Amino acid sequence: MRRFIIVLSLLPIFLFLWVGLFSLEVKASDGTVGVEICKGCHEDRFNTYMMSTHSKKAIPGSPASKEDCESCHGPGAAHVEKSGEGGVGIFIFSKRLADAKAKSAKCLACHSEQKDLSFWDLARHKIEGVSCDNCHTVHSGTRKNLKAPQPDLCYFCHKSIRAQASRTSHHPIREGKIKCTDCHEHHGGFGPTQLKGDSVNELCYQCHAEKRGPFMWPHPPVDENCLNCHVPHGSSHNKLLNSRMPQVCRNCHDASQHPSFPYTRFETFQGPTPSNKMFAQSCLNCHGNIHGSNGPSTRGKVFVR
Amino acid sequence: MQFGVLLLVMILSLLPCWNASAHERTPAGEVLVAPTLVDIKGNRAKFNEYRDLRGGVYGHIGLHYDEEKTYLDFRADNIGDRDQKYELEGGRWGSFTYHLGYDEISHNFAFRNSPSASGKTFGR
Repeated sequence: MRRFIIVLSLLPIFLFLWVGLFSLEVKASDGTVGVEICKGCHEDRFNTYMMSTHSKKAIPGSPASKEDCESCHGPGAAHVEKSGEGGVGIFIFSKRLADAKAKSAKCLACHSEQKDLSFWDLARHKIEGVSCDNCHTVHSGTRKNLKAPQPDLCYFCHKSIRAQASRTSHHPIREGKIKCTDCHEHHGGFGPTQLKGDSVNELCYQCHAEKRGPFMWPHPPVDENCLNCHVPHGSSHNKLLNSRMPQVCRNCHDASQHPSFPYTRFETFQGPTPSNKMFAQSCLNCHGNIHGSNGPSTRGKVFVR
Repeated sequence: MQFGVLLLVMILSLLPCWNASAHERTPAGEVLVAPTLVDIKGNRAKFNEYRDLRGGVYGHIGLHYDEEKTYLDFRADNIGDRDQKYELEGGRWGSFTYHLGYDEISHNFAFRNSPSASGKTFGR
């Protein structure tokens, strides 16, 4: 009986040693060292990682619920053995050491099932060699792990759009009321220029619903494409127009009922007072319902107020 | 009235955050109240086309609470102005998320519509 008690009391110790040796064997076989070892040398990187959503164990499949650092950077045993030397298979998200495809593949290993990444293979960003880490960072506490808030993040590459959005007539992008991703599907989509709508008009109508109609007297260019007359990001002309009034109308309405050329001093300054031809030359002064009209008879037909 | 109710809901939603903080982690945040002096040379309406920048007091509140299982963010900008914005975002990691927001967009668009001003667009 006494011998049985001694054996029974030693059993947990044997079990503990056996499990410990087994786990060491596993560690050695997959080459991982654990997050504490990484933290020992890369504490600053570890601290920023702990601020990110990747460090949340509650999220199924997150790096924290798997191998932490080694989930993305690969097993670190060889790296540790060589006292932190490079060239030992540690994956680094660097332009110099890895191409865009390889870097994105690392992220997509977990994120490929994500709904908004369904069209990543069609994305212009992917085709142009943009990888996830160009916009996102694993080590961050910002929203969606973005490297910078919108629109500054997008402006880093799309400098011409920054210039357009700074023009006198613009969507409220720089005021922070509209973000790039309100209109564009940055991870890829079927729409032109990765728009969130099936067409330009469908997207614009989401906010500018009063332009949709249906109207008794529709204006065909409006139904065709808003960009026939407007530019989306910013313009030097009022109301985001392609060109100023009345030139924007004259692109189509050429000398039919109103003269299509600017008046000169001969038509305007010949009398005692300046002619009214110098004033009210914006077509919209009379044709106010230019997007379409429900007005009766010919008044509606010519979009008169 | 609706806005008042929304603001009340947002403030009440913050209560669990403060309660949890006593046991787990102190929430981070900032409150900013600053006097503003604005001197606009030119078209005041155009300058404030999508915003409400004028002399007075600028208010901002940002609260952030993040722990292992839940998170909560509250942000208020331009408090009391015509372009005020309030956002409340929270959830449980890996389970659900919610987002409440109130964003006022002012839009001045009648700053250049007189017939004589429109005539200027015709000039060469």
